[in-house]
Amino acid sequence: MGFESSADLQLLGGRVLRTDRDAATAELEFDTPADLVQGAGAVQGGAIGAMLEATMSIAASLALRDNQRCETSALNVAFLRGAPKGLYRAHARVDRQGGKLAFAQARLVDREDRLVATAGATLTITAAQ
Amino acid sequence: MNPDLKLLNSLAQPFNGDLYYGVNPLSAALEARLLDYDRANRLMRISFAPPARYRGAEHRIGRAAAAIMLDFPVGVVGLTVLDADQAPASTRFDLLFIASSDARRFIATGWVIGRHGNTVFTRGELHDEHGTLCATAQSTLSAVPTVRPG
Repeated sequence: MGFESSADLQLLGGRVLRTDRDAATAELEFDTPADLVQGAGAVQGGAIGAMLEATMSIAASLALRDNQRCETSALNVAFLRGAPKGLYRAHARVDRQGGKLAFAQARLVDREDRLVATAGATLTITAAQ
Repeated sequence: MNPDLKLLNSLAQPFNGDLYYGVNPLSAALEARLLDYDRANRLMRISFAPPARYRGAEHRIGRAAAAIMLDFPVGVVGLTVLDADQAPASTRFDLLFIASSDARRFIATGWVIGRHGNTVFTRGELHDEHGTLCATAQSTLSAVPTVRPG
């Protein structure tokens, strides 16, 4: 597969606020770059989904062994309200993680803590190259 | 203006950064070009040449780039079945990431699979220029009154 989430974080203007390995959670902040905004002034839906995916991927990576890596195979996003350019926070939690698959969910809120989007992901765990 | 005409006026020309309503920095960054806009078959294809910042190791595109490129056609293709005073707004977007690629150019295709009242259902695929399927998508769109900036 080879999709790179670290490069995605830079693209999305993201930074890690906190992670909790025991709780399998991650919280990231995204300061959306101007070039992820569509003509109507809203952050593009694909970029919103990518923010949630990156956060879930980091949460799932917390419990991996040194010789493992995880990659998102399926992503399901619900857009609950419009997202103008601005600062957003994403919180992800891993619901279950086995030896080959992980299942995670995430929420994206705006500066006023209003829910903007939710997502679920299935991640595939493989041996690191 | 009818959204179809606005879209075609902006996309059928040599790329000028104006993919949809008004100036669109995202389509400019991705060098988006319209390949097909087939209203009869409710289908559209757009090519992209994502720059280095959309790519990771070995110059491969990331999941963010795949999601962003696919979101264009699976959303905009809704225009083919909407009224002239309506625009598509995404309410759900489901993706399967199949393979990454280091290709220079990608082609995203979107088509309408059905409409139920103000809800439009679409699907899409992202291939690299060599024909490798990189990702697929399914989207649910809601018809909203057309709003233009400014």
